[in-house]
Amino acid sequence: MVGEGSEELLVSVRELAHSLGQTSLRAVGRQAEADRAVPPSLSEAFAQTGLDLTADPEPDGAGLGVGGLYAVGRELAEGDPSLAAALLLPAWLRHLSRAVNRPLTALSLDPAALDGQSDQPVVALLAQGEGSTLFLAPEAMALAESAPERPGESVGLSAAGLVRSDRPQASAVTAGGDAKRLWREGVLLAISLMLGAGRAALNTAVTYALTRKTFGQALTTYQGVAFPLADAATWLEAAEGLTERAIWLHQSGDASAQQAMLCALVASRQAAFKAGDEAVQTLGGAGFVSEFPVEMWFRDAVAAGALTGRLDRFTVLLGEEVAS
Amino acid sequence: MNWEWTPQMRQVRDFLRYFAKTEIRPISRAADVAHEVPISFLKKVKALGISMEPIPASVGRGGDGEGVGEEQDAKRVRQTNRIAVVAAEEMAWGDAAVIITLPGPGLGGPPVSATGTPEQKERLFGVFSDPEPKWGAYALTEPEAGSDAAGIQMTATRTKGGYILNGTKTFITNGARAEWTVTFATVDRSLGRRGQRAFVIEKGQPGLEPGRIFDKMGLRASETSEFSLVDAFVPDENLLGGEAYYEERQAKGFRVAMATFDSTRPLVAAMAVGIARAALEEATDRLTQNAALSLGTPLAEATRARLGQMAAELEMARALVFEAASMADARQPNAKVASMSKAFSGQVAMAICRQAMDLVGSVGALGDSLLEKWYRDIKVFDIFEGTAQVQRIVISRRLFEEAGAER
Ligand SMILES: Cc1cc2nc3c(=O)[nH]c(=O)nc-3n(C[C@H](O)[C@H](O)[C@H](O)COP(=O)(O)OP(=O)(O)OC[C@H]3O[C@@H](n4cnc5c(N)ncnc54)[C@H](O)[C@@H]3O)c2cc1C
Repeated sequence: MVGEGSEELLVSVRELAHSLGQTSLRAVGRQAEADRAVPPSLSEAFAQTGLDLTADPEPDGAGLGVGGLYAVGRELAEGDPSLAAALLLPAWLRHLSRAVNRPLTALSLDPAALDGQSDQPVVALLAQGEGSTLFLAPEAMALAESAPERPGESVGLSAAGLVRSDRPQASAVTAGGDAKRLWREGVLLAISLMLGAGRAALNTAVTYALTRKTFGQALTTYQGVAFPLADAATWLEAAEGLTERAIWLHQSGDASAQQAMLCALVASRQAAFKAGDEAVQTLGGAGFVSEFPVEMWFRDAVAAGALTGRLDRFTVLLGEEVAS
Repeated sequence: MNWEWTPQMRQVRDFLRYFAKTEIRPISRAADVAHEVPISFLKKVKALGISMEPIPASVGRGGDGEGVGEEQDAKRVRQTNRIAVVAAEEMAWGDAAVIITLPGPGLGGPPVSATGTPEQKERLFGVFSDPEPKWGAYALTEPEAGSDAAGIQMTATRTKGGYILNGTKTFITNGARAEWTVTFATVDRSLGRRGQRAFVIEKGQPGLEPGRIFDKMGLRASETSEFSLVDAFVPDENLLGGEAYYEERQAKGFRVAMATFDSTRPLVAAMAVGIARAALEEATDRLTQNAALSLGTPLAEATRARLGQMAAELEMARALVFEAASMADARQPNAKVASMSKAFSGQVAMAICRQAMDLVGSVGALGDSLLEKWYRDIKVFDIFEGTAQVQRIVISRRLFEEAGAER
């Protein structure tokens, strides 16, 4: 729950995260992807900002909670999604571990892991240190001791550790309100990465369109370029709005929070994909080669979406919620 | 429209399906990681005589390509384009980056076939009779001119016995390894497309300065590079088609560049279809192994509906590709359908690859699944050989012309 005076705090935290994202993260994003690691100097700089403590309770019990963590994640991800994931995962896990009362080292958001009818493996995001994997699905959660495999190649989020993970034993599964609440909090990490990646890609494409000329005119003068960018911007705006609304309902303890978060996830996945795709398209050949980071952000957005499992699961769930 | 599959087409499909499965697919991931196709593989395909060589629609039609319409050639081209798209789909199913790295003239082939003098054809295609793998390339794009192909800035200044070329070409497939590259330059920028000429730049050309080799989102095993020409003297015999060719028909250089697309766009579209088919098959295989699909749950129903939609769109794309290739074989103007095939296949294949990756769940994002690679590979099919928007410009222009608008 957001405490008194926290609005102002949220604004300043957001600003700080934004500026760190645009400078420090942006500067080393490509190299971190190649190294599949966060540069130690960046980890230190990040720790000094105190942004990783955003969600932690203040001594008086007030803190920005997961809403603050989302805001930081979203802004950092606009600098570089992969580094944002790597830098913020420990704080996210710390936040979630308070709720489950166990140290956590990895987070899986693919509902297939807890689906008794499915035998598919899933992926998790892995942080440094000892602890359990927390599996979160919109209807249930589970904890497992099994250590995920070490990070290897993945479509994106390479500076963070995207790893294959064993499915937990069925006995460890807990269903009910607590699980739903935790899923909403966990899934915000993926949403923050997707929306930050989408926004970064869109902004770069818009700037590029202003300066790149074809047939003697700026790309902005062509509807074939401008309209898709306008659509992508609209989707992103709506998805960001839906997410903030879902956070507000969640923090207010509203019964419709689950449906709102499902909407936010479905919208964010589509918005981020659209923004990434249209951004690469706007840059043409320059978008497909790695001179610009746009193609990397497009891959990061897709990886962050994949982390949450199949999109159809959520649309089916939403449909069921709507029908009921 | 001829929808018939000839015995040769079936033969090519069956052989290449087997070849793609047993030879190409197994090296796909490793080639992507290494950013190159193993030379042992390239030598093997060279020895087997496998290459991609599209023939432009204009060959032998009269007008464009006049003078190459000998009886023998005329017979030969009749199913060449359809065979080429069948082959492209099958091999791209194995790996698209590998097939655009196959030894041969590549995209440089069609302009040489269509406009080269007999001497040039013999000399340039003769290079490929060498038992070692050799490549040709096609260089139109420049840092400041991609979609706006008529706006290229590379200059060609007349001098005794040839031309002096200056400028930079970028994003050239097989550009660094090519024995020769069909390179477009302008003799007079103010003339726009009428000032363009096609030159052949050979390996070792004085003034040829290699540039970057690009890292890419996908097709990582394929080489994409840039090069500059600095006061490069190109002799008359390397002006494609010879001087008379351009004197006789103005604006020819640009038409040489564009005619290539009528045959290469369906080919590129067929590759997109091949990648999408691979992704759809992979997702379907994985899902059918999963018991959940056989249950009557809402998710299983949604999955089936999604697979059905993907399959239908894939068939639509393939139909357009086949139509464009058939028209080229029948020597009918096919620019509109060629662009339709390219625009539609690029878009649909992108959607299929993304959905296939999604359908298998979060593990689809990991590097041990080819689904993530196909998603990375497919995006460029909306960009090269004319972007999605450029295809729509071509299609809509033809539509309006057909409805009476002036050219
Ligand atoms: C992997 C790869 C391989 C390639 N291989 C070759 C090769 O072998 N030879 C070669 O010559 N080139 C090659 N290319 C270049 C490719 O053909 C160009 O990238 C492509 O034509 C687009 O040009 P551009 O990159 O300059 O984009 P731009 O022309 O700058 O276009 C940028 C964006 O603006 C849009 N746009 C531009 N003008 C308009 C308009 N009038 N209306 C609406 N939208 C518009 C485009 O559709 C695109 O979305 C390759 C590119 C890649 C990525």
